[in-house]
Amino acid sequence: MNDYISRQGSAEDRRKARFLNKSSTTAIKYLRKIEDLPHKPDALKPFTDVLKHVFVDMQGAVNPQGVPSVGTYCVMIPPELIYAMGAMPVKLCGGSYTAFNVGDDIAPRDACPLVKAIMGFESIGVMPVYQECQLMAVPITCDCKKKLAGYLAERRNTIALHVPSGRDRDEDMEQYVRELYLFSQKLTEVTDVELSYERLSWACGMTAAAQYELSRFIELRRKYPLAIKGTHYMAAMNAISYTHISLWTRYMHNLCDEIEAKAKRGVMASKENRPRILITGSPIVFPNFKIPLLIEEMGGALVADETCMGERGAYDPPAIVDQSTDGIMRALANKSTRPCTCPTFVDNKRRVYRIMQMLKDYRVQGVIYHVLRGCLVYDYEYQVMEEELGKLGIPIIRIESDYNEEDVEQLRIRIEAFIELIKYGKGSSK
Amino acid sequence: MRSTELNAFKNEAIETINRIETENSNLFELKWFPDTASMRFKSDYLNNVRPQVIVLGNDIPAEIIYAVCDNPFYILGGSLGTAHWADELTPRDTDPFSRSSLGWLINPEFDIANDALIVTAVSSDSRRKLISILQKAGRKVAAMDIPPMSATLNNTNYYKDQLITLAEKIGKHTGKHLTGRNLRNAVKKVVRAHRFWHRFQTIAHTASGFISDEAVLLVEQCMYFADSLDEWMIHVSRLIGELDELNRRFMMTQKDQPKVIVLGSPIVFPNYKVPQLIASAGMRIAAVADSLSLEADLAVPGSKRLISSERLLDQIVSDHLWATSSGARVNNEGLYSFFLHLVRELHPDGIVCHILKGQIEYDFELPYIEKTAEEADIPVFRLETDYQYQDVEQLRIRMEAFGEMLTQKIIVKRKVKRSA
Repeated sequence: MNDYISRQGSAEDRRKARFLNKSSTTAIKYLRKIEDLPHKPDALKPFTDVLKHVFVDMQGAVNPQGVPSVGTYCVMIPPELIYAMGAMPVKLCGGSYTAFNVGDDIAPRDACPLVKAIMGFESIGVMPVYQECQLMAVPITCDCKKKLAGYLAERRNTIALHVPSGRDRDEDMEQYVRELYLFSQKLTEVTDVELSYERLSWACGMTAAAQYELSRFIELRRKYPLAIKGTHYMAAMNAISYTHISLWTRYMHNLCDEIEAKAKRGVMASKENRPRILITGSPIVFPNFKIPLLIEEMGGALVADETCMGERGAYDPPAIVDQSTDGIMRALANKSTRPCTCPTFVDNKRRVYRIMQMLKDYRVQGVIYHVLRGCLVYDYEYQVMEEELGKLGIPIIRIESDYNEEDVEQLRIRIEAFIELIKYGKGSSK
Repeated sequence: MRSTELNAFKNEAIETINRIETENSNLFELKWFPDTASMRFKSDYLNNVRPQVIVLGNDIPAEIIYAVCDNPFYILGGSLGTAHWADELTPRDTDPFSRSSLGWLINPEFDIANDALIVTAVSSDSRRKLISILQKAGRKVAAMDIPPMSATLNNTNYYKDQLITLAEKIGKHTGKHLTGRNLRNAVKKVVRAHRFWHRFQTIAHTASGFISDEAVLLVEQCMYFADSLDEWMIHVSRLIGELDELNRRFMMTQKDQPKVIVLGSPIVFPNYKVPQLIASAGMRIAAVADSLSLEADLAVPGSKRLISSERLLDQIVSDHLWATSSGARVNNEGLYSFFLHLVRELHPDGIVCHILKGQIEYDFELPYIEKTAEEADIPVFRLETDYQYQDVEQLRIRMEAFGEMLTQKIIVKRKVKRSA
């Protein structure tokens, strides 16, 4: 009775407080797990601090210049355009179990957990990183994102961008260029900054610096696949979603320096005999790090990540051949779609080629294909990957998972068995 | 094993046909429709039919299809047998429509797509992936993109460009090109067919004592199954005449059965589980609000048919971009307004929202439907199922409970009215 009387605030306030509490508890737990993994580079701290800032301290995105935030939901939104228009992109694809539980009551049962988490965040309305966004940009890449755009549009200033299902015809590219122009007009409404060659050029320079550091990092990883734990790398790549790119570049520069120095001294994060694993499929968004953590806890070395939270979003620089505003816009539309390995495209052979390249670069011995429940587009492509990897004799396992921890032990058994299979079976002979 | 699967494929159609024929044995002019639909399940037909163009789904405006192809072969899913054939090609959570459509095109028993150009719209995740599976299997596919939003000029122009490109591809295959004359003729033909569809729906509604709901659905869907649209129109016209005659000769008053609107995923022959359940629960279908009915509801107005072919194309583009099926749209304004129109017109007692497992886009739309229905005090029943028949008894119990609730509501309403 006393307890009942002593409750402060309305039921809604208490619900929000519970949400924040549970949300930060989960984030703390996973941050601790990431930090507890051995051989953590010192230079990883700023990245984990970003995740802490957003998900534990609930402080919103790390935005030192105080520019307006624009929420994006896919790698197909070029960050260059948002920076050029005087805003900062914040990738809002959700990985929170707590938000997923909230979204579960709003979205249909079979919707993917990522979208449920976004809807959960939107509905509860307490996460500063979501709340401070002045515009939401949703590229229509799958059925769930399509309906999500409608849901967000009822609540927030939202723009949906049509991503053509083909990308080889000039007409398709033209369509996306026009969509980006419409997006820039919407950005002008938010920031009062007009689209100009100077600003685009400046923004491309800024992201190019980040791409340079990332390519340096990728090169280091190619040379020394075991130089850093995959989970640590994924944490660094997740942090780009919530940090101003100039800061992230600096952090990445320091990380590269440290890894390079360690690698030259022969200090590796994993032992040479650990099976080298590539992860691909549905995105792995912090704090949903159970699969990378399980891989490394079970004795695997996560050497490569072909998901859209990995290097896919920042890997390809725009190829600017025409030094004009329109030339840069076209280059941005091109770089956002043509090299992209997202299964939203009807013809996605590029993903197979990309994975083949990664298998070679990182000397991968096994592939974990991650499918978030309800993420049908990735599920469709599993069969293709299975066939292609079968030809190379590289084992692949399909892991279906949701945003909860109930399946962790089952996943652990499957991942452990898979790693053992590589270790004592086929993989060891390679 | 193979013959068992083939038998299951045929039996499903035979059972539905038998049921429809038994329930509607008094209708002489109906006979052509079950025969036409069952033809597609006969080995002889399937082994010999060589369609030039196969249209997957009904998202592409029929006017464009008929402008460049005389006899398109529509595939709308519906068959459990064909869905089974596609099991190994698709992920577990794929919707039955996509499975079934794929099974029609890739299976061990027949190959109707050998010489055909498969035409489809990229309206959902499954559809975009079906295209790549079909291409990988060596099939010729021509696909068009549907912009998910209709509000901007950019999307309208893009959609138009997509339609023209698709029509050119089909024209190249069939030898019939998209000319002003062909488009005008196609519009005339489709408008006529849609007019017959409406006349049939109206008469079937008033003559509901003479024709079952399943038969109504079958007659309407034969518009897609018939080898020739003209032939379908002739037979529908005869059936309309027969029903009209019966209506005039016998003033058959219907007992007060609750009327429901069925909306959501299309119910396609031979899987008529839902109308069967509705009938067994003592209810009648007042109207179906799915993408098939929505398409049939679109017709270029008479005044617009004499405008230039360019403007005619613009009219088709604006109509279809607004009303195209839900999977392709961020907000399905076309379906909502069609649904609202039906509610206002027919005053249904209940709404059955039919959702095929995996077609989550309809599930996303359910809250809007529920809100509208709540305002009009109409109960909504969400029915999720697939093409399997194992859940029939569970669904029957739920449907009966819904039917009883609606009946009680009608009785209470009547009492209140009388006492007032």
